[in-house]
Amino acid sequence: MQPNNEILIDYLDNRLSTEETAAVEAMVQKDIRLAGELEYLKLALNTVRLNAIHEKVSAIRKSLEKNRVVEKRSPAIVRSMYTVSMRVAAIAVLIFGIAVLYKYMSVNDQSVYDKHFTGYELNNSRGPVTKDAESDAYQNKKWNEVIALYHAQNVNTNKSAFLAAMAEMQLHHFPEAVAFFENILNAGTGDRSFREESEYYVALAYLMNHEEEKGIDMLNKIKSNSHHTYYPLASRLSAIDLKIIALKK
Amino acid sequence: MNKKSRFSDSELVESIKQKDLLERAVIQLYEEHAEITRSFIMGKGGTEQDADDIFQETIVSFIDTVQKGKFRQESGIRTFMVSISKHLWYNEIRRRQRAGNREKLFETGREQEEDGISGVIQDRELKNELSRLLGELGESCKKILELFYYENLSMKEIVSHLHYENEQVVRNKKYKCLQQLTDKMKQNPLAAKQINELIQ
Repeated sequence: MQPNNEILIDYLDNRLSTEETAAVEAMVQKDIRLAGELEYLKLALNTVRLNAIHEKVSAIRKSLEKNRVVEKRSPAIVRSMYTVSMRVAAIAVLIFGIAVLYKYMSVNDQSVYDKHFTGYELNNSRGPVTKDAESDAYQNKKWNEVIALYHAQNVNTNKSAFLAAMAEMQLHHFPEAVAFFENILNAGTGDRSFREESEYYVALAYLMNHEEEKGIDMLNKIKSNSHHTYYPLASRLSAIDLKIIALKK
Repeated sequence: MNKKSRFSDSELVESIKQKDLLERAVIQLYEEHAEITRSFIMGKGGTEQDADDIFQETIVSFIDTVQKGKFRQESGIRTFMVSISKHLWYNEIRRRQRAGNREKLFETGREQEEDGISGVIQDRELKNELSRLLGELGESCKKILELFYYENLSMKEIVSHLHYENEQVVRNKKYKCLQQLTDKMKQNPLAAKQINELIQ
């Protein structure tokens, strides 16, 4: 290395004293070769600087372009008809499943009873209305009195037993109600009145008395007979509800 | 970078000088000014690649100008950068035409260049040649020169950074690398022409 170049580099690096700096500047003014050397060195340093900046910017540019490519490659959300159909089907299955589950959870003896039990209206009975103490008590919803009057009587008719049974139903005394209804249905007296009424209500009483099998059998019997007085009411009980009750038994 | 953390023009200039905020500044320059340069260059017959290359060089020139303390903020960053991009692109068109490229390039409508722009931009061809010569020195030379002349590290810091024996070894190596580079430049016609024009 030429000694002069070392001085020039020191000059560019600001390593020279004030006097040395002034001496170098004076030499450069006089010597065109030295001035050329100094310009080459300046160009070299500028090249180093620009190259360093270029590499930094280039690295940032590559990083930005990479991100741009990743953004471009991110697939747009394209839903095919198949996917849409599958989603709709899945949603439908889910809704159906929830509905089935809800149905299963919500249907039980109590719900069926609440939905289908309506108090018997004595005025709706066929034939002339016979006024008696039990009937009066029934119409006045004096359920305990109805039952007491039934027991006080020496001879009981189907009507009397039916009203007592319905009074027990109103009081939620289902075993007692079942007993009254069964007496009517099993009686061999030839009295055919209130049998169909008893069949319908005993079916509901069976459900509430945890005798689901008997209740369902009775309801199916009524539903199979379109001439039965309680066929319209029994038909409102869905087969699914009865099936669920049978499963839960 | 979200809108809230964006630099104002003066903050951007300061962040370029500080260097540790350089990356954020460059990203902001790309986000705010790349599109206008792209539109201009592609509207003047350039390709997307041309636009990206020219904008990269524009940023390099801008950073160099700022770090040398030569940027006059009154012109505004956008105006300055657009002017650099135009200057670089017109020079590139001329270079391609000289190289016998018959492809139709549009130089009509060339606008008045900003004062001082040509002074801060090195000829693209010369810059590429010089960069190639620097690369020929090898990585260790490039690294020492870069750490000393761009990162402004002391000899002591370079010794610890590059694991040399002592400062004198680094100093000798630096002298040697710089001398090699200037020797290569002297043998390069473009560089020699540039220097001859300067000293005549």
